[in-house]
Amino acid sequence: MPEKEIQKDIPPPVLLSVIICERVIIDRISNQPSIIGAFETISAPAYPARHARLAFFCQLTNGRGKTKIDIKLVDVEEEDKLLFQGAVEQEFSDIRQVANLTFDISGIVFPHPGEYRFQIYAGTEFLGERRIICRKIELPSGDKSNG
Amino acid sequence: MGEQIRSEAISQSAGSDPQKIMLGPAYFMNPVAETIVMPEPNFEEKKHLYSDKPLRFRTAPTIQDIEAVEEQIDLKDAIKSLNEPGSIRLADFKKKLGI
Repeated sequence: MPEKEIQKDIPPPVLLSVIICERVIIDRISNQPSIIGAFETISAPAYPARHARLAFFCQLTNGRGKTKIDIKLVDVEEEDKLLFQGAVEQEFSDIRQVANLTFDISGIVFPHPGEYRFQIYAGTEFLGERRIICRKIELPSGDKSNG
Repeated sequence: MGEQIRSEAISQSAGSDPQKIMLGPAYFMNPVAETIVMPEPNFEEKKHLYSDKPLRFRTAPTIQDIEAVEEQIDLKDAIKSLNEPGSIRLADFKKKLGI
């Protein structure tokens, strides 16, 4: 069987968890990730709004060999229009291995309030998704931002 | 710099080198505000912002799922073979056997 066909038949990794948070700290000694400030809602006084920094953390298992992992941020209200895309190549040495992947993302601009989704793919295979909600808030002082 | 980069991501997994991903300006627009750190609101306060589209997750097929697909393929092949020259229809076969 040609190598391409074998690759096609290999099942994609299994997505164990997806967390959106402020940051992920990876301990230099133990290599353990610490998830700081998990959230689902983003608040801004006006849109388009820029979010300075967020982290996308996910765990994958049942992977085989080198696998390209893609994450996409899509606008649900605009028929899943792509806002952001990032990729990383993950090597699975054993199918029982759990890979912790962290994407540290800065400067995403959300065009309007509503629902967005982070989607994760292994190659072209869709693995799962997570909601992120943007809401508009009124500032009592009339300030446009805290920056 | 020819292309303005407005957003970037750095990814890292245990046991591998950090990889920096640069993202181009496509789909990115000029922000008019920055987001603000606020307490996570109650679900009731924000539920109007959610879409009705259910979340999707890929599930690994079970052995039963794989067997069901294989049976469907076998059935499809069997039906297809009935139309091949020399094949006999079930009704004719039953007639031949006298049942």
